[in-house]
Amino acid sequence: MALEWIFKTEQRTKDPYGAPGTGKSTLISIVTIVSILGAWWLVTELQLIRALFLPAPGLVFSKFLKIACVDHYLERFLVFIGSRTEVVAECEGFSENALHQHILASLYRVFSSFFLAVVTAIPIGIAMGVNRIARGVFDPPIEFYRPIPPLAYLPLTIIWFGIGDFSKIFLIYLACFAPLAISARAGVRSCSVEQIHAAYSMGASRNQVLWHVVLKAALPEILTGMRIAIAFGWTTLVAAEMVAAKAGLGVMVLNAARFLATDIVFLGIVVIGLIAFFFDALMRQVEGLLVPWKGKA
Amino acid sequence: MSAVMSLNDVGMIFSDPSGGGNVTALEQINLDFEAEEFVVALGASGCGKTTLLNVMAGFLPPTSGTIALHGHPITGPGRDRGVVFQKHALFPWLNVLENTAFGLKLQGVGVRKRNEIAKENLGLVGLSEFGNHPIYQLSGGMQQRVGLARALTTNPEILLMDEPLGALDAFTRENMQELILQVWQRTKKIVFFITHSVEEALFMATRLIVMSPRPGRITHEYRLDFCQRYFELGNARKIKSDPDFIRIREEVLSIIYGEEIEG
Repeated sequence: MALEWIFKTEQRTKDPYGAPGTGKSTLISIVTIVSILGAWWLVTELQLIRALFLPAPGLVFSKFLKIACVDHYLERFLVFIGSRTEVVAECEGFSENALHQHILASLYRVFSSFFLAVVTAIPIGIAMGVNRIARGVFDPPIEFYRPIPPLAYLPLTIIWFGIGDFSKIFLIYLACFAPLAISARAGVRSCSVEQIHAAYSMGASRNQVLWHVVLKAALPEILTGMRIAIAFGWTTLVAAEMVAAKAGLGVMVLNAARFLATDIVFLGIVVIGLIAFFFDALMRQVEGLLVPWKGKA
Repeated sequence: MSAVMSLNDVGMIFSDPSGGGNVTALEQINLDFEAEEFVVALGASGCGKTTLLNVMAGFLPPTSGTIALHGHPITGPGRDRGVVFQKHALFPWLNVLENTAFGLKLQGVGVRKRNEIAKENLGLVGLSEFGNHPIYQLSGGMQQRVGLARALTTNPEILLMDEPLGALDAFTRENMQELILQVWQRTKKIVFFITHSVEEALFMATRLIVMSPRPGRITHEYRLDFCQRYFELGNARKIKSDPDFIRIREEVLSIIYGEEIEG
């Protein structure tokens, strides 16, 4: 029944006998987002659910203003341009840090891990794709640790590397490493044998084939791997910040949960989601610039 | 005239990894290529013509026999033998001009010099205006023209063409046959061209070799001049409907079908 309904709505598109599921969905997505926000507002407005479980959107927004110290920084700005003489509003923040400090701490951890993973995992993945020995060496450890949840080896990283930033970065690094290595490994398989033969018949050396053909052809998959890897990084962030972190979005959410400050938990989740979303949108733009041929040839 | 490229008793045996015995893809191929020849290999699928081209290009070392270019044995692929493939051989990350200039880039030729040569070759195939286009925006026929221009850019002794028109529609295909002949007439390259279209083979070849499968070998050889007549008359349809052309076409077809029935 449900399937029948899905098929019927599909047939209303401009191309009734084409491949199913084509056409734009942006407008529908906007409707979805507005509906979710509207339902959230309505449910809290009618007090159907207690604020402890579901804080009102307005409440979350006012918490955002407070933790981000908007008043404080606005006054400082006014003093700076000379239309005010002193700063009255204090910056309280949450867990001794303002929102931007939490964000910066987390950005630093996620992106330094991501960067380290990119410069190590991509070369290793490429080596695995083009070299039998490298594949034999790296395949077992990667395939072994890949499905293990980061929370399971978090205690081990703390025993080994202590409770400083290094073990946090290491944990996120491991989360980013596997998808990058696997996509780079798969990517080097994406060139056709004709492309390789063509290069050789134009006088290419092995290294030139590797550089000018194999790596270029691997680029689309490597970029997809980067998008997957950074998402893994964000999902591991809260786990990484569970132990002995002062600032960070993960710490903020965990501490808020401890005090049942559900509004701040919501705020933290939304901020993480938005940062990840906008970075992914940026990566898609980069894909469009670097690999415009993706899916076309 | 001495041969530019010669194959002596070339044989190719593929061993079946699952233990089902060996497959003789090529047996005792003897073939000489002389300057300015247009040699077409024709045969049903499985007759070893693509294997033969891969051996000549150096992608596959033959299991027996020798191949020599100007008397020097061939041990691997090289820019003295340009290859045009059926499809999927262009680089979508490069535009048309960069694809064409690729071979010169590998040699370290400066960008200005290599673009100049690449532009000349694009002009030869009628794509002067398309240098900056991405290749995935071109039609199949235009992509094959880029493939031809690219193979010419390294100035090879011989052009090896592996069913270059096999993936094109019939109209584009006939136009491309004429274009390739014109390019051949102007560049004077030796061409080794594989097809399974009898009409295409007869129209283009100065020498036609007919191959048959199991084991892959050359069974018949014809000297032809329909391409010369095309250069004189300039009308491909007229030549393809000429009684001489039709007679040889039927003869070659009966050879190929005869083998199919035997096999």
